Amino acid sequence: MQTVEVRIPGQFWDSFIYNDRLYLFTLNGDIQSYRWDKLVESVAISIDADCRPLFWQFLARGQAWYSRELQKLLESPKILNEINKLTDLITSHPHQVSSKILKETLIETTGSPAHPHTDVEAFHNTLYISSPSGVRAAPLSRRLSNNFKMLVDIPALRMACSYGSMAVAAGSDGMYDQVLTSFEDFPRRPEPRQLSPRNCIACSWSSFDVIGTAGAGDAGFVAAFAKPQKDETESGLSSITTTSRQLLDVIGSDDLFQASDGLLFGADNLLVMTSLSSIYVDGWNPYRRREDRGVDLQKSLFSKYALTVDELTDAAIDGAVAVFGVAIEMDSALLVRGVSGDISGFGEPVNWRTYPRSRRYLNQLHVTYDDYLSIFAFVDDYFISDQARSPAAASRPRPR
Amino acid sequence: MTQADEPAKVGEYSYFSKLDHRDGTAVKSQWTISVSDERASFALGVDSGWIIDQRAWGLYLKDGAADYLGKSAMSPGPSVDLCIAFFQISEICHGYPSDPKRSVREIPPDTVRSDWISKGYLRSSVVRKLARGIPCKL
Repeated sequence: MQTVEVRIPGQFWDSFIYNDRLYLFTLNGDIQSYRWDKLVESVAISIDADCRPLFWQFLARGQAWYSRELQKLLESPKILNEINKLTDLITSHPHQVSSKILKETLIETTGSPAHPHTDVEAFHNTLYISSPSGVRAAPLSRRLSNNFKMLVDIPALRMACSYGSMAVAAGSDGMYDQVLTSFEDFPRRPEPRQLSPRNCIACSWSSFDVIGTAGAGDAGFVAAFAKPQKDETESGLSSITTTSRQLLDVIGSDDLFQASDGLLFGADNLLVMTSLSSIYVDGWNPYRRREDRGVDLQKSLFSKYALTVDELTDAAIDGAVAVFGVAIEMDSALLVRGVSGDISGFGEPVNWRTYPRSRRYLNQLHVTYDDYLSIFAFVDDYFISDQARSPAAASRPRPR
Repeated sequence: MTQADEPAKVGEYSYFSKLDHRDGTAVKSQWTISVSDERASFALGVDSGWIIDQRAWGLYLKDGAADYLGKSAMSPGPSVDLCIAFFQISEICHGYPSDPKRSVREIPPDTVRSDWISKGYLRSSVVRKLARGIPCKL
């Protein structure tokens, strides 16, 4: 599995990237904001000039090599060969970020309103930080300092935004849905709605449905909604009077995978269910739902696969689906099953995250360790054929 | 309430150990440390200021780091090792090994978790999992 690795030394709790800004959450409770494009350019100065454009594209414009134009170039064996050679050079070792570069690209440092937070999310230029006391939000159009306001005070173990809503995993309180409105409306906002009272430790979006991850013994469930009027890219923030989307039903993992002893999660058009030494993936396309057929499981599920993962030797405690494959966390390690079926192992992280909704950073995996942060940009997916590509990965972005 | 010992003074509080968290009651989490260590865990929480409203949290320290102090309830299983104590503050206080999966209200607040990280009582990775309601190994 080929990855470009950028390493940032320091003691961090977490990291997050959004719209050319890298946010580092330090272990002492600060949020540091950096100019990401400039940081990557600065790191690239120390590598061979021929490698710099690729290095920058892989790390700062993850969607670039999915374009028809660049994919067309790869049809030339000579060009493909050269690109492969340059990629080998870039991916052969981690690239360290010096303190000088960090200093030069730093925008601001501010105190976190909820350190150590449980999750971070950004949606329509607003940054959200969750904790067991609730979700706080700050607009990214201004400096972060002192701009956080409490959005909702339900306990928030994880959160994920899409289709104008935030799904909130509230542990034993279940899973909630919060319609997102403009920051200017604060503190007015629609009331959060409980989607399910079942235990929920994480949440993710599969198309316009929300997956609640419950953990061992319960796996999880899908909160299935009626088809939206607009697609995700058109669904911005809602008005304060927006009514909640119509919830059709909540479907348990036993109805989806005939099992409940594992971990259920997903993204894009995929559901993933783990068990020891294997994962089960199934395509999930709720747009195929027929009118008046409710959730229409028969149409929504469309391609089931069982894949062996020998390295999955312990119960999965967290997981994510990305364009580069499936990431699964066990208690003592993080595994990534890439698009070619290879498995990469990472040591027990302090934190980790992927960016399934992002365009620029869709190929990134951030892994925080005690003394440094590693930002991995996966590149295999640009060079693998559809036929050889694993079904356990989010679909590639549609060329624009 | 049935108690395993006589109420003891811990700072300004009276504390007693509840029997049903020691007698194998299937629906209750169970202490695996002694009653005196249970009281010491409460005292550590009180002395450290890990108190919010009528709730407090404690740890069982061994060589300066948190160790397991109990097991989660057998029913519903599976029973797993627990390392955080949750206390209810009242006229006579009591507590039990906390299973974050059973009640999100028992997840320690930000200030308490931050203190555990800065004092090195728990590894950051463990604190992240506990805050997300995930049972984990020390």
